Amino acid sequence: MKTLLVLAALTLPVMAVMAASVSIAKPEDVGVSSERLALIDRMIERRIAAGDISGAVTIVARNGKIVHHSAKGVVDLESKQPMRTSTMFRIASMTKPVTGTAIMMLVEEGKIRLADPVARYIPEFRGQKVAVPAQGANGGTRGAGGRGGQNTPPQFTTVPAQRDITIKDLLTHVSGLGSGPMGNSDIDKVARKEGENLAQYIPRLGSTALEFQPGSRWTYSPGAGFETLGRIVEIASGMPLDQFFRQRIFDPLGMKDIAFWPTEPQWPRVASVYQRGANGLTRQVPANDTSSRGIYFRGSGGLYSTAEDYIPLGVMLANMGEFNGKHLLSRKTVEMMTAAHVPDTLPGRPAGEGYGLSVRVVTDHVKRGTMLSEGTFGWSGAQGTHFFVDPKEKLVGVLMVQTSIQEMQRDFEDLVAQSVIR
Amino acid sequence: MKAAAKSLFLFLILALPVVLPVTAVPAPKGKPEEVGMSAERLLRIDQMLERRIAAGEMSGAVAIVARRGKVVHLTAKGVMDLESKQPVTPATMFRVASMTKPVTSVALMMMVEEGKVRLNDPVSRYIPEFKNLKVAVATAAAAAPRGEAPAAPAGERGENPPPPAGARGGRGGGRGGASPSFTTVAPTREVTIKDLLTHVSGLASGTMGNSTVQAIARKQGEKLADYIPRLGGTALEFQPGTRWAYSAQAGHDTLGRIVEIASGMPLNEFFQKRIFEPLGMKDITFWPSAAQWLRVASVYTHGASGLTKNNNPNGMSSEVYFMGSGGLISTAEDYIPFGMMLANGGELNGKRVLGKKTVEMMRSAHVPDTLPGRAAGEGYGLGMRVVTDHVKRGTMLSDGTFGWSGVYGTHFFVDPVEQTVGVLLVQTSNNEVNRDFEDLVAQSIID
Repeated sequence: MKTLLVLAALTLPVMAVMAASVSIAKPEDVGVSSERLALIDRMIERRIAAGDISGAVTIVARNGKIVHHSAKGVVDLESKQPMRTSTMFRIASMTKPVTGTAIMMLVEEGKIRLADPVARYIPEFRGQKVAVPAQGANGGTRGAGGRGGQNTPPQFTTVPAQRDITIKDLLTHVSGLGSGPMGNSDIDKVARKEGENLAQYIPRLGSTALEFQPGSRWTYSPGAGFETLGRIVEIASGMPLDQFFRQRIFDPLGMKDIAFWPTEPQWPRVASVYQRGANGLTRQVPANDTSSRGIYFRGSGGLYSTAEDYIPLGVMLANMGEFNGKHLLSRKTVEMMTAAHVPDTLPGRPAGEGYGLSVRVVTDHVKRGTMLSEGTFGWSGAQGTHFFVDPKEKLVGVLMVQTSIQEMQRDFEDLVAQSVIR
Repeated sequence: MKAAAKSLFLFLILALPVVLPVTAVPAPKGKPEEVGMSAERLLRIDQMLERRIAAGEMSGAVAIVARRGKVVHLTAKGVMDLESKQPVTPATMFRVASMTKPVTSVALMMMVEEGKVRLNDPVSRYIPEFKNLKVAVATAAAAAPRGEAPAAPAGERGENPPPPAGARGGRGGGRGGASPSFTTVAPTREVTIKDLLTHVSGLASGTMGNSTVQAIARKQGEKLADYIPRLGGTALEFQPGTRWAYSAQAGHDTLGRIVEIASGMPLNEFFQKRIFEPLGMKDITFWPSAAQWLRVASVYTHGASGLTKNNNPNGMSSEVYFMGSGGLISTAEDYIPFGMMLANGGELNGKRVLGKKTVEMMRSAHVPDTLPGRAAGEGYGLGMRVVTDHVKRGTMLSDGTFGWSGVYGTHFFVDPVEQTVGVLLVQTSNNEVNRDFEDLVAQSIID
């Protein structure tokens, strides 16, 4: 802890980073063991030594206080610049819970409701069709969310949707929008053009086929679903999504180094993305780097952030909507958001893990195989980032890496859990 | 925010002496923050109502919220009547319609508490004519689908039934067009008091039964004692207990008659002496006084051409027929003590109306949400909906929340977990506004 504080004191003036908004405590003061927390560092060091990842930042809070904050490895394997707590990461789908929070803020104001059809705000979504694989066709060979492959386009016909998709369908990934090869082949046809914003592009999604009848199964909508929700936030609030995030969420929570598009001084702090394969780590240039540019605010995955500028969101949710005396959401709203709206028994969900409003929800920790409590919620990003909130233990963890390894996310969860000593 | 609360109270103080010299404020008032609510967040209710009024969806509204025995928010918006443009004030009275049913249900439970009636008693024990009830069975030629009331488009969830037939001979619970064809069979068991409280009796609960109710229609000047026994000659829509279907009028009117028989008091007197006076509910009545009528808001329906005035909205209220299903007219301040009493386990300000166990019985889900006719996540208790699964129902209120609504758009709920009570009085039916109000109250909780 001391070295951590010294490191922070040394790096802060250099990086010109403002103090974090979540205060720091001695782990033992909030029932966490420093010695056990150090096991997180050992695990990360082993992963780096094994060539699984280039580096990582981990941060843990309990009872609203930071008890662990650690940076290991390098930002880039060539430059060998050390990873710092001020390093920024593409948090990708960890943007979704931010969009989910924004939606719930507007529900709280009575401006939208969970059961509202999307068509109420974007009329093009009225009377969408549902794809049905053509006779003899296999419905395409590309997996959910995998667009742009070289395979033959899937053959399908369409039938009318039994009902229009709702805001809740999008929040819980049961809409069928942009959720598989058939629908995605339609999305390719209406592809967003460079320079288009949410208002210009999103209405075109209304003409695409849903992958299944709304509500009939759970399938992750990696892009279209939460981008549509982002547009609804814009319509209901009258603000561009980046401004809404900034004014209503980031500023009140003191989240500074988090943005859809980093500034010039921030870019050198953005970690490189690597994919792990047989030949070790290969550098990736994520496609989304060209799609934001301060124009298209991807509510599904566009944010860049440091670990310490994301954790306030988790701390706020762990504290039932309140942060340093400010109520971003009410307790009842957080309860609604983190309830299992989708049971773990709906096709598409794994055992013990239901789905809430923009977050996974552990409904049975034994079945899911996590040491975290029932009711734990959170989400992860395509480049390996991960966060969770255990509301029973008031425990929040954020893991920032730029190589996707699900096993390490689970390890991180259990290592945080085992550090709780009362 | 303090300023806003102050100006609210100032407004009250100013408005009260002018508009109504009599009303005492029955429930204690408190600051929202003292009971874990945010004054700033509560104002979102006002903003929602303002948006609805500006959009021409309603003429005006009063909303009142209480938590832990304190009224913490009271707001009056819009006008009582679009022509007169008289502002809605906290003293404005509204036809609470089916929000009368929970009051009748409480009266009935008071009789249960005294050992004078019991939930399992057949209705015929008090009204022998109910021994004659038959069950309708649709014939092959019958056009109308069983159990559906074609004239009740807004009643699909049972919350906004069509206005029951009143003294002026309005439409009954969904009749019209060709009479449905049916034969009758004997009921498998008699209708009980509990069947009526939970809307599973089949009494006047659909097109077939309603056609037999029309045949014995209430005449001008008839009292409960004159009319109710004739319901024994009607056909039930289905075998008792087999499904849930809202009995918009006959069911709770019959319960009102049973209260009269068991208590030996006319229903209006029973309400007054046993419920309204102990709870300090002053401006609530089956028939307003001449002075009160001036404070009653006009009823409007919302359609494609905006708001249309209902020129015959008083069919449920009467000086002689005390409609236990829907006759009351009330201010928001004079209805909320009823909800606060229920939230507080049967007692308010030292006056006990019901025992704690009785309230628990009332707000239990006697009808599960899986019985045909009920909505997902919403079961039915004794005279009130009960949220059995807030996620399935899509409300931010807690599991166990109970309450009911009125055909002209009034709505109330009690969240027994959070100890919150909300009453929304409007005179234009809009189910969405009711749901918005619930969530806006829920999101005001900050502890």
